[in-house]
Formats: sequence, C-alpha cells, structure tokens
Amino acid sequence: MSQQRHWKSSYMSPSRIDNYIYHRDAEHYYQVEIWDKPPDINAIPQWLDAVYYDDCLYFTRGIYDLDNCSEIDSNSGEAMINNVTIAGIREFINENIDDCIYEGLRAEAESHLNKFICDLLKLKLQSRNMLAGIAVHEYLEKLLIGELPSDFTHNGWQIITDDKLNVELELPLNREQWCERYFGDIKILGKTDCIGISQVNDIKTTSDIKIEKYMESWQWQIYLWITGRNKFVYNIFEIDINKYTDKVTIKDYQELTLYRYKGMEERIINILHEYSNYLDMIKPHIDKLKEATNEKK
Amino acid sequence: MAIKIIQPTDVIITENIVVTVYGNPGAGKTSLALSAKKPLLFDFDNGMQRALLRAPAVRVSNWKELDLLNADDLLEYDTIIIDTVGRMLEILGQYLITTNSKLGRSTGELTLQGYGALGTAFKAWLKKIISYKKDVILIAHAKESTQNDMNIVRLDAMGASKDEVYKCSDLLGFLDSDSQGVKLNFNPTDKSLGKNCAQFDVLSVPNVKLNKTYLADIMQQAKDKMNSLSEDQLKRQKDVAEFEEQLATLTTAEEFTEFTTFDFVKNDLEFKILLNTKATSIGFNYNKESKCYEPTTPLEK
Repeated sequence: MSQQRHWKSSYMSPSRIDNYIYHRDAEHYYQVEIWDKPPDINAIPQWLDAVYYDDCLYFTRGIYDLDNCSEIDSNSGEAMINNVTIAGIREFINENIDDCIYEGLRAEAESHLNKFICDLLKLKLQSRNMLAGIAVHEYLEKLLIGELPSDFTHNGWQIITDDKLNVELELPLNREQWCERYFGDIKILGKTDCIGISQVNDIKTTSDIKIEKYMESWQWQIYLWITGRNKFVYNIFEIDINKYTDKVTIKDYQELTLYRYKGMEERIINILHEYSNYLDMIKPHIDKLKEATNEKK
Repeated sequence: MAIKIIQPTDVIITENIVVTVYGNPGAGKTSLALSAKKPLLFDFDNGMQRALLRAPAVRVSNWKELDLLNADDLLEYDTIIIDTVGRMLEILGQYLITTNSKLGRSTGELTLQGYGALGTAFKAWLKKIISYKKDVILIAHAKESTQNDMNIVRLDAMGASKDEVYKCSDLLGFLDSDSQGVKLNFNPTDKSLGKNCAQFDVLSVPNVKLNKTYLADIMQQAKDKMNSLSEDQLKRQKDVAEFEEQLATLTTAEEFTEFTTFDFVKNDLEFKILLNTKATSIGFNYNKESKCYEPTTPLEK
C-alpha cells in the first residue's frame, strides 16, 4: 500500500484495526479513521481525531498533506514542512503565549523546533479530550452573568453539571480581551479569559487538577506583567469525558488565587531574554529548511 | 445543583488570613509561628519543646479532640497554629479509617476514596476555624526533589490536602537559613513555591525572642495591603454603579449612540459591555457599519 511509506517513521507508527488507525506519539493517543471519499472537514465527527484519505490526514483544524512534507526527519521522526519563516514563527509564538512561552522556552531549542512548525501551520492535533474541554471553556467564557444550565449542548457536546456541584464564581465582565506589552522589539500578546480592575481570571478545564502545576507555570506571572494587575485567579473545572458519546460532565470546581510578587518583573525579563535568544538560535535551522526546500524545487 | 456566574461586586474586607510556612527541620518554623498574635499551638509533631518562645499549646495525638472544638474553646486566641500540617493529616487519616473501614487498607494506609475523604475533612475543618474569625498558621516540612536537573523544595503533605493548603493560603513562604541568618521568602523562585499577597521582599527573620510580635506585625501588614487593594475595587464599584444609574435613564437609540462617543466609555471595555447589554435588553442593536444603535425590529410606519 502506497500509504505505508508514510507510516514507517516513528512519528507515524500506527497500528491498524479494522478501518481505524491508532496513532501514538510521546504524549497523545489519536484515533484516525480511514475514509474512501474526500472528507468535508466540518463533517468529521468530534470523537475522531482525524480522517485519513488518499495520503492525507484531515484534522478538524486543517489538512496535513503527507506528500507535501518535504521529508521526515531521520532523528526525531517528525515531519518537516516547507515555507516557514522566522518572522512567521516569531508571529506565531507572540500570538500564542499560552502554548509556547512557558512550555517551550526553557527546553532545548532543537527538540521543539518541529513542534513549533507544526503549530505554526495549525497542525496541532486536537484530541477528543481537548475538544470537549474547549466546548466547556467557550461556554463558560461567553456566559457573562447567570446560571449554567445543568444539561445543555454546545459545539456538539452535551455538557452536564454533576448533581453535587454547587458553586458561585465571581468573574469580571470583560471577556476575551487581548492585552500586549513589548519586550524590546518583541510583542508579547495574550488573550485574557476575564479581566477586572485588579485581577485576571483564567478558566481551565482538565480531567486531573494539579494545583502545583498551575503555581509553577509562567502563564499567570506573564499575564500579571502584561496587564499590570495584582491578582490572578485560576477557575479550574474538573471534567469527565464519556468514552463513547459526546458527553462531558463537570465534576468538580476549584479556585486558585495567585499574586504579583517582589522580583516577578526581573524573573520575567530573564525568561524573555532566554526566549529572545531562543528565537535567534532557531533562525539558522529555519533557513536550512528553506534552503533544502528550494533545492528540491 | 448548579454553577452560577456573578459579577464581582462586594468588596470583602480581610480580617483573617491563612499563612503557610514550610522549611527543613530546625529552620525555626515553630518559633516564628509563635510570634503571631495571641497564638494557640496544636502540636502534632512535638516541636513545641524546641521552640524559642512559649505559648499555650495542645499536644494532639487523636483527632477526636480537635473535631469537638468550638468557637468558645478558642475565644482567648487570635491565631491557631497547626504544627505540622503533614502530621495532622496523618492523624486525621487514621481517625477517618476508624470511622469508616472502607477508607483504609489493611496496612493502615488510606485508599483512594480515603484520600478524597481526607481532603474534604481537612477543608471542612479549616473552614470551621476560619469561620471563628481566627488567623491560621500552617507549618509544614519541606520535601526536596529534582525537576529538570534542578533541586526544588515543595511542601510535604499528602495529595489533595496539599492542594487545599496551597489554595487557602494568602501567604505561603519558604523558611531557610544560611550563614547570613534565617530568611522567609513568600516569593516564588526557581526552587520554591510561594504566595505573596502583600508583595513582601525576602524577609530576614530576627531572633523572635527579641521581637516577640514579628509574625503578628507581618500578618497585619498583609491584611492592610489586601484591604488597600479593596479600596481601589470599592472606588471602581462606585463608578460602575453611577454608570448603571445613567444607563437606566436612556430610552432612545440616539441616546445610546451618543454614549458610545464619550471617551470614558470608549476607553473602558466594561462600560462598553454594560452599555451594549442595556441597549440590547430594551430592543436596540449596534450597527457596526453606521456605528449607531438601531431598533432590533424596524419601527412600524
């Protein structure tokens, strides 16, 4: 089968069961269905991570055309994509503070390069769990004031509140507001879920609440730095996703408040210096990729 | 049961706070805690005898004694000290197993369900003490480990209950000593976690024998700082209330449109949202092209 050559690398090492491909990488487990007709992206069911058709993977957020990958990296096994520029990456990272800054910054540049490229081209796989979390998050964020229905549907997901849960959240009215601050010539941009006169709120949905993880993260610190606010509140919802139906149950709610502190600004500036150096460091790799792509053409 | 979202309105004056101090054995945690205002020490770890200061203390070996505590028992005290929270949770865990055998294994450890019950019981007890209008100091040992090739210290307590400590603390500080003396750091660092509602610098802890109200003063400063922030909120709340009163007088689309041109509305997203919500509620929609409010359904001729 011609498609087999694409699955040989460690990046794509699925096992095929009936007409499904179960694709696993280091962190995720994806379910991909093989179709015999070109899929309409909007028609891909939410419980599927992607659809495979004619050597292409169709994700809900874009098409990953395997034939157009310039090559598979022999070391990492990850797909390399052409037409990526440093400016593009810089713009991408600037616009995706949540995903990149505090996760990727301290890590070694090379191991994250391909991830950034894939993210840049919107190839990031959205697992079923992520989609369910997004549905809950979106609904909560848009609900300015009022009571969440105990059973409702949003984005194709049936969202149910556990009977035992009874919480009252104070959320500022200003929702989804972009905020920015410059560090040298780098614009650090972030979108707050809710922002008030002295606080920023961030809504999280997760299947396993780990408070230390939130306390350790750079996210809250960078948001306080950008917005000039003093208090950051994580509104954390624990959700349980049904394996077989598009049903999410909100099981628990926890709140973590964190504060601006002495020395926060200096720590952030240090981390942004690292970030700036990181951008400079990956530039040659991008140029090399572009060069290789041009030669191929 | 439900999840309800409300707008932050009431400004809460902070009268009592929860402070967590963690550190290695011998760092001086108990001595420091005893410099709080009118303290009562619940000594779970037999640490009292090594402390530099003396204060009323209860040596606890059975949870039942604590479970029966009421507001009257604590009338004379302003600060309740738990020393250490890790040991307290162990004792609470043992007590829970005696009340429900399903919560424990034959080896005496808690089951998964037991850990859940422990978190719930701890949270409820702490809430009860706070409801008596007492400050609470939680003392904990530090646990060292490695993360990304770096040495880190974290609070030593069991699972979900540790999360409760993190969440309920207004101040969370790591107490450490070196050749220059004892330092209390409420600021997060690469090594330790922290919560610093008062934006304190790294504090050099004096000999508490010579400064017997050291932590009491720190805690008072923290409350003052939190309440000064509340004053800003109070002012804002007043502005929003006045704006809402003005909105209540608007009746025509033209009046709503006129409000969109005012600088104080243009520059304030919350005011913009309130204006739009009010306009929509009485049947006007904003037309982005004409930049005017218009009736939702065309007026009958």
